[in-house]
Amino acid sequence: MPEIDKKGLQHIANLARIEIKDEKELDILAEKVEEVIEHSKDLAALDLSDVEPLTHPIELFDVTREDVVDGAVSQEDALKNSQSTADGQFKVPNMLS
Amino acid sequence: MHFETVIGLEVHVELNTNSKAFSGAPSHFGAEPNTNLSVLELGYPGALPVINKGAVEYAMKAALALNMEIPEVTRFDRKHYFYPDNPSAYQITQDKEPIGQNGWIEIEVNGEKKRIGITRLHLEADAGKSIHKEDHSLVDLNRHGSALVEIVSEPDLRTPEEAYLYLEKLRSIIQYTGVSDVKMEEGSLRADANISIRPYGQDEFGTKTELKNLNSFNFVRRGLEHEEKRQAAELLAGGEIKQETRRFDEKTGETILMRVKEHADDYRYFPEPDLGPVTISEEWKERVRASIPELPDVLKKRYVDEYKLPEYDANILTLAVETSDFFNQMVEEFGTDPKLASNWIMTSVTEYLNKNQVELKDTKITPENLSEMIKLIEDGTISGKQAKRLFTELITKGGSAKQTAKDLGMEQISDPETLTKMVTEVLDENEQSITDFKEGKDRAIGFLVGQIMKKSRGQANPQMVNKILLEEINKR
Repeated sequence: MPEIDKKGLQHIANLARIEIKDEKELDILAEKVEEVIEHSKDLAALDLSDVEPLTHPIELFDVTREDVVDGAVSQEDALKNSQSTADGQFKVPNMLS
Repeated sequence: MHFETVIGLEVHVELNTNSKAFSGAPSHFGAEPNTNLSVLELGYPGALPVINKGAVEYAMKAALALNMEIPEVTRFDRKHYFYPDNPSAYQITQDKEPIGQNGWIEIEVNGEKKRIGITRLHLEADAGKSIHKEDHSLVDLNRHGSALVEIVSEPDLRTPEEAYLYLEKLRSIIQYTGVSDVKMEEGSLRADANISIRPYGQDEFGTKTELKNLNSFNFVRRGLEHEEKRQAAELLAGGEIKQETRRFDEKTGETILMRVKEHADDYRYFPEPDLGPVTISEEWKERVRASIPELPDVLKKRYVDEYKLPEYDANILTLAVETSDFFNQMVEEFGTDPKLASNWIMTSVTEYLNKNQVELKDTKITPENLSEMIKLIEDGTISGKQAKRLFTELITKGGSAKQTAKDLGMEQISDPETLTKMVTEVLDENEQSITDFKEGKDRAIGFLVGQIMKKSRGQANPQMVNKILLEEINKR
């Protein structure tokens, strides 16, 4: 029995912008995700009721910088890796259509 | 009306820090496209954010001015979405522990004070800007990563007018704190509105729609007015309101469907792994609180109590910090009577600004030359009519009021000695009029005044001329 239904999987893939071509691909993906879920069940076996959630491996507080400008990348460099540019800007497919 | 309207507002305010919220790239409006960037804003792998302490402090200042609580520890989270104006495909924001929580501001509706709750204020990175062309879009990432606070109100607003008043008050408070320019036309203040309606007496909220593209406070009001009517008509016709995003069309004054929200947004928030929490001590909080200048409500009360200005005047003078600064300087530094200063600012100055669509700082009028001009009217050097012309000259060309009046040859002659000399001359030249006057023909006085004004080329102070003429004529 898959823990995750195919509709849910399709939704997650969509959120991550992963294209799933056909039913066969979806099956392969479902199997792999299933493995991950199974694996994570090992964690659920542990009693963690006294353990605080850990969001960072090292608890570092108050790492900040002063509000000072320390330079910028040139426009030329900023656009260098772009496939398409125009008027100093990134040219992308129409977003509104 | 069959329904009660419920409105909540989300306001984005860009903070005027020198550098970006999480990098040292510059953060200035109006730069050449894609020149205010570091590898972080460009989304390069391995680029790490560092929190701008100044941005945290500005957010604290805004939060405190809005009567909000600030937690001991504030944290950052990631919000995920794909859009070309944000290359990393996630936004650094605050979900669980925002800098500002549970605040309020007060608005005045038909003379009654109403408190509007503010749920939260969080610090986040702004997105870039896109221009949509016919077959492609252009992206300028300059704005991306700029320090932005989002201020979310409680659904406490009941009419479009209240929403307008809330925005006006919010803008003036933020402007007084100095943390943002709050200019809608430059995008440093942006507002989205959520609106629903429900039958009177019903506790649950109706389904809400979200309004976007509200580019002025006026459009917010008009968009909401249209939307409450549209929703009521829909419900009365037996239909139902769908959760959707609508756009306000400035030309038709209507709201137009952009997209229906089929399921709740799925942003997959999680704690930002690249940023640690920030602790906010009482000491830091108090230091920031002490740096907040006199806020509009306090200033307004002072104008009414101390300067005896009408509420109406005090309200208008405190809508924008430039206006009250200008007024304060006129009164405190140049000793102008508060009511006279207020009258000139609210009439001639405001008319000029509206007519020419400019701001006070773009004109040549200053607290100094306007005060000087008012003094010239007060001591009778110039007439009220002349003042109007002098004002136009000062607001367009600037300079000292006294010198400009002199240059325009409009200074009134009020010196008794000079006037007495003129009066004597005119009397000597018009023996007949003196006789006429003595015989009871009052008209003769009018003629004599006319002659004196002519001699002075219209610059004699009329009141003084009358007084001196009567004195002199009675001596004869």
